[in-house]
Amino acid sequence: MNELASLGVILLFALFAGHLVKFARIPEVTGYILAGIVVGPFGLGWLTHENLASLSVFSDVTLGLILFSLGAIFDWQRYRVIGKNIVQVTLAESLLAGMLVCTAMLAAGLRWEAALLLGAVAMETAAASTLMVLRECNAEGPLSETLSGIIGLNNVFCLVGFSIVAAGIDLKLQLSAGNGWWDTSYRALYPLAWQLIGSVALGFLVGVLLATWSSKVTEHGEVGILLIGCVLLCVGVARVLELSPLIASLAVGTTLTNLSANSRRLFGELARSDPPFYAIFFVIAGADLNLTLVGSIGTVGIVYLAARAAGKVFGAQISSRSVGLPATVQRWLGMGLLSHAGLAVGLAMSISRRFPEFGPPVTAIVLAAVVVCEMIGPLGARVAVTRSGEAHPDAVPPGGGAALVEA
Amino acid sequence: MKEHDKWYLATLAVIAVVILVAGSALRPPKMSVDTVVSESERFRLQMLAQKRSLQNAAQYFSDLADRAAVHVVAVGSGSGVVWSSDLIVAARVPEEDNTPIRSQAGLLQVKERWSAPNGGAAVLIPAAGQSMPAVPFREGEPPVPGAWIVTVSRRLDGSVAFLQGAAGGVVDSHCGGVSVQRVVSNLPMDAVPAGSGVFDLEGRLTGVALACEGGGVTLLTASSVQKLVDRATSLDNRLASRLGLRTVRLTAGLAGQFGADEGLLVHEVWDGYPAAAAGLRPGDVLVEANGQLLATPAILEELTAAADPPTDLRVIRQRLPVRLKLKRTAPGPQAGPHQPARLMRLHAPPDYPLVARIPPGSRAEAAGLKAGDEVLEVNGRRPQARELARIEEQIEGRDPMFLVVRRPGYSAGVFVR
Repeated sequence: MNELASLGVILLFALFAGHLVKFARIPEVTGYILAGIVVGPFGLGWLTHENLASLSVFSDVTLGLILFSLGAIFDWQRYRVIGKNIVQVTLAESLLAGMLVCTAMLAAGLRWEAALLLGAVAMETAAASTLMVLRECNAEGPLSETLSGIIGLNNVFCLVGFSIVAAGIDLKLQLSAGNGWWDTSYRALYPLAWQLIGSVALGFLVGVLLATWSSKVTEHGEVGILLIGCVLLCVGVARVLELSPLIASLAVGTTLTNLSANSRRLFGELARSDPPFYAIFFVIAGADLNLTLVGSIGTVGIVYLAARAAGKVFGAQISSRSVGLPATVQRWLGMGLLSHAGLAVGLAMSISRRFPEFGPPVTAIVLAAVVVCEMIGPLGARVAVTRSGEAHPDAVPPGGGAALVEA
Repeated sequence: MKEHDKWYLATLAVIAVVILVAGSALRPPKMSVDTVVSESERFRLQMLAQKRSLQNAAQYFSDLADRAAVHVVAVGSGSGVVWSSDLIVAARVPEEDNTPIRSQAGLLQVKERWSAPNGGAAVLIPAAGQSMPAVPFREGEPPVPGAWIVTVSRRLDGSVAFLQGAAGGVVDSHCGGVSVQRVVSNLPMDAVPAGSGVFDLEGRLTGVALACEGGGVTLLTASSVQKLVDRATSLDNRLASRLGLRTVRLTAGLAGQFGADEGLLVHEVWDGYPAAAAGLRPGDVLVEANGQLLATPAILEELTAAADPPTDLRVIRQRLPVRLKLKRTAPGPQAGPHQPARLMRLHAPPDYPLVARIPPGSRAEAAGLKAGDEVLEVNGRRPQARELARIEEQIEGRDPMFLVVRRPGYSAGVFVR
C-alpha cells in the first residue's frame, strides 16, 4: 500500500474505531490505538513497517502540536497561582516513580546502568493520550487543570533526568576507557545544557514570531496555516540543531500565551483543525506497538509496571496533599498519569543505539510496558476525570482543547 | 499584543539568537543521542559498507564481462576476438582441428586460418555465407600503469569467464617476428586463456591475449594485434600458416649465389609444420611443384590449396637438385597454445654458436639477426668453433652471406648484404 492509501485507511479506521468504542465507554484514544493494532504489521498487515517509517513525520508534527498546546498552561498570570504546586507535584510523582523503578530493577538483578536508565524513562507520562482523554471528556476543573499542567512539565523533567543519567553513564564509561576528563565531560554534559537552553531559545524565537504575526492574521484558514507553519518550523529546526522538539514546542506555546492577547483564539483554532493529526498519530502509535512483546514481558516487566504505577499514584497523592490541592485531585491525580508512550519509546530507541552493551533489555522492557500502559493509561485517565465529576462529555466545548487549560 | 516593552522583547530575541548560534557552534562533533554509536557497531557498519562496495565492484566487472563478451567467441580450447565481420583473432588452432567457432549466432566453420610460428596468433575466416555477429568495438588506448583491465574469454559451452587485474603499462616486444607492444599486468597469465579479449573499464577493447614466442600467453595491445592481422592476411603468411614456411622470390642478384635461375627461396621453416616434415630447410630454393615452374608464391599457394594429394617439389639445395614430397596432412606444432609458463628452463650447452650481441647500426642488425639466435649454417656450412672470429669479421665485411639461424619454434634464413 502506498503512503496516501495508508493515510486514508488510517483516518477512516480511526473514525470507525472511535465510533465503536463509544459504546464500550472506552476513550477514543484507545479506539485509535486498537485500530492501529488491527491494521498494523502485527495485525492485518495493511500498514507495513515501510508505511509507518514514511509516516513517522506525522508523529513528530503531532507531538509538536500537542506540546505546543500544553504550553498554554504556563501563562505567567496563572502560573503564579497554580504553577508552584504543579512543579512540586510533577517533581514528586516523577521522581518517586523513577526511584521506585530504579530500586526495583536493581532488586530484580539488572545492571545499575540499566536500572538508572529505566528509572529515568519511567518518569514519563504520555502527554498526547492523556490530553486527548481530557479533550474528549471536555474535562473542566482543578484535576484537569493540574493534570494538563503536569503532563507538559513531566516530559521536560523526564528528558532532563534521562540526559543527566545518560551523561553520567557516558562519563563513567569514557573515563574507565581512559579518555580525557575534560573532553569526556564536555561531550557528556554539553548536550544536556544545549537541549535545555537551546530548545527554550528556539521556542521563544518561534513564539515571538507567532505572537507578532498572529495579530495581523484574522481568517480562520490563515490562522491554521500560521500555527502549523510555526510548529513545523520549530520541530524541523530543532531536529537540525539536535535540540529537543518537545521542549521547543512547549516553549513556543508558553511564549505565545504570555505575549499575545488573542492566544486563546489561536489555541481554539488549533483545536478545531488538528484532530486528523491526532487520529493519524495514535493509529501509527498503535500500529507500532509490537503485541508479541507482551507475552515476553516477564517478571521484570511486571515489576517495572507495578513500581512505576505505585510511584506515580503515591507520589501524586502525597505531594498534592502536602501542597493542599482539593481532595478529588489528591485522590484521582495518580490514576490520570499512567499513560506511557511517545517520549519513552524515543528514549528507549536512543538507549539501544547509545549503550549497546545493556540497551537491549532496557528497550525490551520499555516497549513491552508501553504496550500495556497505552491500553490502561487512557482508561485510567478517563476513570479519574469521570469519577472526579469533571467530565462534561455532552457539553459543546467553547474553544476546543484550549478551553480546558484556559478555564 | 499585550503592552510589553518592545525593546525588551527585541533584546530577549537577540539573546535567543545569540544562544542558538553560539550553542550550535560549540556543539561537540557527533554528540547527539541519536548519532552516538558504539565502536563495535561503527566497525560493523564500516565493514558492511566496504563489503557492499566490494560486491558492487565484483558485480561491475561481471556486468562488464557480459557486455564485452559479444566480441568474444569460443575457438577450440581457447577463445577468440571478433575483429571484423569476416575475421577472428584467436588462439592458434591446429590445421587439422575442425572444431567449430562458437559465437553468439551459433557454430561457425573455419574456412581459412593464418598463424604465426610457435603457437602464435591465428586469424580465422569463417566459411562464406555464415554470418558472424560482429559488434563494432571501440578501440581503447593502451592501458596506463594502474588502470583496471578485464580479460574476457568464452568456453565452448557458451559461458563467459573473466579475470580483472591492473595494468603496469606497455613494453616493446616481438611476436612471430613482428615488433609489438605487450601489456604488463598483475594477471596470472597461466589462468588467461589464449584468445581472450582485454577490455578497459569502459568496455573498450585494448588488446588480445595471444601466445607469442616463448609459448606463454601475453597481452598484446590492439594496435599490435592489428599489425599481426595485416601481416597474417598477406599471401606470404597464408602460405606460412598452411605449410609452415616463408619464401622470397629469387632475384637476379641472389640467383647466382643459390645456383638456381628462378624459384622461391625458403627463408623460414616452422617446427612441426608440413614444410619441416617434408625436410625443407632455410636456404632451399623451390623450383618446381608438380612439374610447374614456381615463379611466384601464388602458384605454390594454389597447388597446395587441397590437402591431397601430396605435392612433388623440385628443390635446389646447396646448388644440387633434391626431390621432396610436401604433405599437407602433417601434424601441427607440438607446442600447444596452453603451454604453461615455465619458471626455469635448463639448457644443454649449445652445439651451435649463439649470437651474443648485435652492434647497433651494423650490417647484422640491418639483416635482422638477433641476439639469442643459434647459428646453424653459414653459407651452407656448419660453423666450427675455431672459425668464429673469421665469421664475425666476414659479417662485418662486404661480401654477401646467408646464415641459417634457429629461433624458438622455427628456423630462419638471414641474408647479410
